[in-house]
Amino acid sequence: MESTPRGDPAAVLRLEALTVSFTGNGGPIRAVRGVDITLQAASVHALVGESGAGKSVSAKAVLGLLPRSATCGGRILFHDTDLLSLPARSLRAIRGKRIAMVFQQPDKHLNPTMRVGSQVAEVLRYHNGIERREALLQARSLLDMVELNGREVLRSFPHELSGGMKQRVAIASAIACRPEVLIADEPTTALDATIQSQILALLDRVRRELGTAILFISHDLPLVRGFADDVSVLYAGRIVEQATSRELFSCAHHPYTDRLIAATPDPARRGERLAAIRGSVPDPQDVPPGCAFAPRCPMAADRCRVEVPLLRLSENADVSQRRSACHFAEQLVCEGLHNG
Amino acid sequence: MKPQTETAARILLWLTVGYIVVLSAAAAAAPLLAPADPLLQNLPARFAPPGSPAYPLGADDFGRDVLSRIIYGARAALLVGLVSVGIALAIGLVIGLTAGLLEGPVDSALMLLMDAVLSFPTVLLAITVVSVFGYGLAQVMAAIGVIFSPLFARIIRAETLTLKHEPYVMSAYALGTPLRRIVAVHLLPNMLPKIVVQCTVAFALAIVIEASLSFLGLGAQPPQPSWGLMLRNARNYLFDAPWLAFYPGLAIGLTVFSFNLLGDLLNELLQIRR
Ligand SMILES: Nc1ncnc2c1ncn2[C@@H]1O[C@H](COP(=O)(O)OP(=O)(O)OP(=O)(O)O)[C@@H](O)[C@H]1O
Ligand code: SF4
Ligand SMILES: [Mg+2]
Repeated sequence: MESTPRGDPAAVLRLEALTVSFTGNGGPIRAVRGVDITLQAASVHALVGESGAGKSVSAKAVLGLLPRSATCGGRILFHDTDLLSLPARSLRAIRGKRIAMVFQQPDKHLNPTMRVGSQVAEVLRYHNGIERREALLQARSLLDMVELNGREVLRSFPHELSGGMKQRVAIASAIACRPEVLIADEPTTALDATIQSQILALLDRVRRELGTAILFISHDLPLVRGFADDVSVLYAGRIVEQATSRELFSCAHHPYTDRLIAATPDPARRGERLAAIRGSVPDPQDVPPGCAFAPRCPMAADRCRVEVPLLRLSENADVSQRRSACHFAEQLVCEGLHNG
Repeated sequence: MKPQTETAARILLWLTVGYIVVLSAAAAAAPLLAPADPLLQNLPARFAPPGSPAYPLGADDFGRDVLSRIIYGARAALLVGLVSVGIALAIGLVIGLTAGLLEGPVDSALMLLMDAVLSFPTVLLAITVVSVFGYGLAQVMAAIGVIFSPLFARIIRAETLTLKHEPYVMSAYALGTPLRRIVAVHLLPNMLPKIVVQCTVAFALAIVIEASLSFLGLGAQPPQPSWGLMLRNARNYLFDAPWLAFYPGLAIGLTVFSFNLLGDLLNELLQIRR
């Protein structure tokens, strides 16, 4: 029997005060510094931030995919089970069956020496104990489901497929066991814009038809507009703003979010957008005291450089559950910032 | 490689493969192909020169048919190659996979052991092993198998270390694939080309070592038909009956050359594929 976390019956996955640090030469590398995320059943939660923010590390922590040099703190609740304290064997039974993952580079995530059909069938064979022929039949209908020609693709090798097709194959393997949670780590970053939106549409269909909750990782905030239900903006291992997609895109409550929304597509690098923000993310071994964003923030004041802004509910009465970690969240005038 | 070179490499590859196939077929069908019993002595025909009726490649000091002994000798040579490479591969797989998957102190200890084995001159080590455990083909095969295992262990460990960080292996792991499946479907098939190349090279070396040990009297024992043993026997009649040394020498040379060449060609052709 399963039960959902008390107080939030619809939550399937909850990261609570998650921290991850790696042992590094010059002291610990604090990649994730206290992250809270609630993933509601059959919803899409986007985790957005620049390169190095700690998005992949957070995702890998959920499935226990971090190297031994990583130390995790906090809790990762899957229903009522804390995945961080689960023995390896039990975690393996959850991986791929109840929580699955899709990665960024479809080119590299398929075995070059194995037929596509067998790769998809693999998952079914060890998780559901189905024998080979039956698994291949099911693999074929899964490939059909991700809008590939199952009959043909089943027998092809990865190098015969395009990037978009390979990502569909990866999605087919990931949803083979109808997982409750799908973690998609920048699944469209390596793809052309048109393919990108096709993959998003496919993931949306998976969510609707299988009721799979999706944790969607991206560095491209405008991309998740209209796709994600909730958004968490990650900066230097902390969430700086968390809101429903509608609220977030109507008006940012954090200067960093504001700059991310304003980012424009980069024509030279497909799938990437021009960094609209001067400066670069802080070194995780040397995060500035106070607000980590202060060195790049147009609104930074003296207070910002000493006092860490906590992620808190906005004091504005009209806003519901949205949280932001900025001392001056209430002073943000959205229009003014956008145009400035 | 240029296209012409690649074509040449392919032709050479097929010639080599052809020779190896013919040799293997001859070894397998020895009782059907050999004109005479390789052990049958016929003293009146002693030192019959090549081309004599019933002795196409001549006869030896006991009047035994050289051709038949060469054909049966192929059996011994290929058997030694097969069994010793099989043993080396089996040991190498276990050690290489364990070291590569576990890393850390286990890896260091195993690799130290392998380096220790490798640091002895191969033939000397084989002689030592055979002197301790007794003379004979079985002992030779076991000794070569153990001595060659580091060659496989090292390659397999290196490949495991590289392949296990491949994104598709990470992906499979993230989907809950058990370790043994990861090894069976993701690691082994992707390191197969390297293993195959190593096998052919080790095969050639094994044949040389068997011939050397038999030549020294430590391997195959008389009257067993073995190329190395035939050479040993021939050294007393080098001037009177040079064919006794020539044909087994030719057989050893051609066979070793073919397997070495096969290894080189496979290596190059497989690299083009990548
Ligand atoms: N195995 C590791 N050892 C040490 N540091 C690591 C390791 N993996 C990640 N990090 C560090 O953790 C930080 C966060 O990395 P992460 O991969 O989560 O970034 P990300 O948000 O996914 O960025 P990207 O958009 O580039 O994928 C980075 O500074 C990175 O250098
Ligand atoms: S706390 Fe200060 S530095 Fe940080 S985002 Fe807000 S205004 Fe900028
Ligand atoms: Mg990442």
